[in-house]
Amino acid sequence: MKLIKILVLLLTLISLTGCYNYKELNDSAIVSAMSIDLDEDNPEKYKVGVQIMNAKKKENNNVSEIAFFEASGLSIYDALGSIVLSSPKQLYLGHMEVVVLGEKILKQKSPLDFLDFFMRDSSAEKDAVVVVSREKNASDILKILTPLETITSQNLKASLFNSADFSGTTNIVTLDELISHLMDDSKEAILPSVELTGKVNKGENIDNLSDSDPDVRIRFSNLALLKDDKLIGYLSNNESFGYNVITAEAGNTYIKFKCDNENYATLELVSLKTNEEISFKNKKPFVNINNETKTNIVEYNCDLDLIKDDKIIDEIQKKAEKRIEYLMNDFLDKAYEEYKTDVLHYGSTFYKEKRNEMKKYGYTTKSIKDDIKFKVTSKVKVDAAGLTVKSINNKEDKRER
Amino acid sequence: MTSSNKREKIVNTLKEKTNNAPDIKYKDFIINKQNVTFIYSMSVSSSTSINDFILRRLDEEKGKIKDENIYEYIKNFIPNNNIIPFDKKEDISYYVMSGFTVAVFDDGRLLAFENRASIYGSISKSENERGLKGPSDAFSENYQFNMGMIRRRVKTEDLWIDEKTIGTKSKTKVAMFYIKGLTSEETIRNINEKLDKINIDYVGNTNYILEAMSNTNRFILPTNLSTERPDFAAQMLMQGRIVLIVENSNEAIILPCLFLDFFKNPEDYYEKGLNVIISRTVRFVAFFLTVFTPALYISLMAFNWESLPSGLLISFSVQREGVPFSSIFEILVMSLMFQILRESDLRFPGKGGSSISIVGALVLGQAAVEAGVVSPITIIIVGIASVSSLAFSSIDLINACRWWQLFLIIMAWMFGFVGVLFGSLIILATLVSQSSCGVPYFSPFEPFSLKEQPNVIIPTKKEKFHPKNIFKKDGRKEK
Repeated sequence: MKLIKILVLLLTLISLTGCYNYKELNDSAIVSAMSIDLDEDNPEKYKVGVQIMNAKKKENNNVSEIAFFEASGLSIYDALGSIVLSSPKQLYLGHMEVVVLGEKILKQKSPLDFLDFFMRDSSAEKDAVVVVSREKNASDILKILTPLETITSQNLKASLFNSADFSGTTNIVTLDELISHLMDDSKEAILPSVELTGKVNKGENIDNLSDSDPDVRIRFSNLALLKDDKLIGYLSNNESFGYNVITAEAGNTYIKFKCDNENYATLELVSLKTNEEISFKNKKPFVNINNETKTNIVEYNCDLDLIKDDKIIDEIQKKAEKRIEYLMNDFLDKAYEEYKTDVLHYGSTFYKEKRNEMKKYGYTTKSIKDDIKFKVTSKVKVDAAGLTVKSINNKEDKRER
Repeated sequence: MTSSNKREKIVNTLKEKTNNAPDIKYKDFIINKQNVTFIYSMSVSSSTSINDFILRRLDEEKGKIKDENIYEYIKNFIPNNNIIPFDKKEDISYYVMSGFTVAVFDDGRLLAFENRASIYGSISKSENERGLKGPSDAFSENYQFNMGMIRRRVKTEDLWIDEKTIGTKSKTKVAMFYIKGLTSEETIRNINEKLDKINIDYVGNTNYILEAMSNTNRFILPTNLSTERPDFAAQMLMQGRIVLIVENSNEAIILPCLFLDFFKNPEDYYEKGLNVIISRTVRFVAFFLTVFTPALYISLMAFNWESLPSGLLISFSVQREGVPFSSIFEILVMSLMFQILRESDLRFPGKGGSSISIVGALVLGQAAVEAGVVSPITIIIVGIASVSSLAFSSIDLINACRWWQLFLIIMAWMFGFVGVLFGSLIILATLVSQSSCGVPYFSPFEPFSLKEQPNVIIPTKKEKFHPKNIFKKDGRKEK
């Protein structure tokens, strides 16, 4: 009898679908990317756009269609709530991969004013990559159907990872990293940016997909600099690279330099290490940045014969060292001299390690950045020269013949 | 009279050594005031040839024999193709177990006549437990043949047989095999007591005995092995287990049994040990796939989306688009359909079986997906779970897995991953707390024994060539 009672209870439990938190996958809209802008009509409101991956099944095949919904509200959640009015499904933020922030909103407002929702909501993805849309609205980026992949945000994320790996001029910043950087005393952060090239209005069209050379492309631009929670400017190519070298994130990238008067050589970076030593010299803060790099020669368009002349390697190494030092200095000048920012967070590093001296010489974590002197040294080692020991541009060989 | 004592002494020693085995018969003759005892085994020798050529001939000519030396007479005039005179008393049991009839004379001289039974003509091949290698003979419904098949493989006189008659109306004979000195006395006593206690009217097959022996019905998994392969039964005897053979039943029961035994096939010992590692690993994986796949799928589909990669999540979501039922309903219906297919395939006579498979594959698989009734991923999941369950030869285990599968599906449906975790904890608890004839069911994992661990995944040479009683450390009393 007891068993029957338990069985009946269990059956009721199941048949009434009182199941805790049970929800079907296809009743939810999987948000892959989100754009946040300021509403142009009402500057108090945020304009939030979401890209939904599983909007609809395409006829004939099992590929989903991507849809874009947009609405404005006084808070992020308010805007998302308005989106639900136009979308038949509930939004699910657990697989959000990219958050695009508009350039305007970053210039006018602090991200800390509106990003609280992402840290508070249990289902929202904290690992989403944050990018700045350069010169355009964030929603414009998401509206472009991209030629390479079926899902815009995945394309964005994949090419961001690729370019961070290969070109070294972008950087990957996730939502939680951005927030923790901004919560630091210096309130400074670096973000990658994207821009649109071509005729923007055509991109929303499905024809953009079928062209092999589409009218509109999404292209990664250089790093954006945030000071006091606001966007103040962009770094150049060289400066972006310098930043990545100092933070040792330019792992698989390359450097190029002139090896004679007209031709260039390219070195592939195999491993990159950067040490920082901080100290006080003459009562002034001093940072010594030591870089150690291992490289392979991937391209050498000048005269080269490693068999005859092994000192040439030293020469190449010296040239590369010069180049890397130049790149790092370039970034440091821009960030610390021109913009007076402390994106490398030396303020807090000094506070952690040299607190007593800091107090003695009357610096605070905020003020110390203006007086820091840098010394940059680089050591490059060429590990391999590829398959040939001579370059095809070898002049001596030609003479002999 | 001293010489007569010699014969009696030999006969008594043999009786003692074999624990008066029920299949070994002793026949006394008195010819010219001289005694002869014929010893033979019913299970391995041919009773017709013993009756016709030894017993009848002696019976008829008893009076006529005037010869003083009865040994010479029997040696010369009993028609037999293979008569071996021998002296060693220790060899008697070997000859008897090999199907010879041994004549013991008053003066202690011994003669062996070959009367080997050729039972293999009527032995069928094993159908339910097929293996790529190894002997394929199977137990039949003939009680004596079944005994003989084990006797032929283990010819030691230490193979003791206790025979009992169970069933007030059916009067079914049950033989209990074990190797004296290897099997623990406690286990033997334990099973003996249980067999004695059985009070039932009719014994249909081995399962009647098992059900009557066990105290509880709550444990789903089988706590015994049943096999139709005599080579497997012999293997198990060598590990210190008890084999029960029931009259009119083509299966032998092996007791005690461990959970691990379901992952060890008899042909594991016929292959190279290193290669068996992969086969056994595959069986473990198949077991986990059977039990967990549907439950994990449901928790992934209904609760824990964040643990799927984005691409897979979209693909799942798109596949489910337009399917009117919830994923739990789909899984339950498709599993049910598979069970029905399996059941009908078993019952359908002979050649029609394959047509059912085609109907199942086409109608339930492809057509259902194309019609949008079920999503393709459901078919894949149910397919994985069902096919993996067929990797085991034990029907009992397959049927038990169905219960666990269902239990975990319901847990996943209610609580997602957390439910699956708790469900598996409950399953583990039942496994660990169970024992089979006083032996912990989940050993050597619980109680843990580091020394036994290599044997889990690989049949080591030590285990293979000199098997020991694997239950030596009886740590626990049975409930």
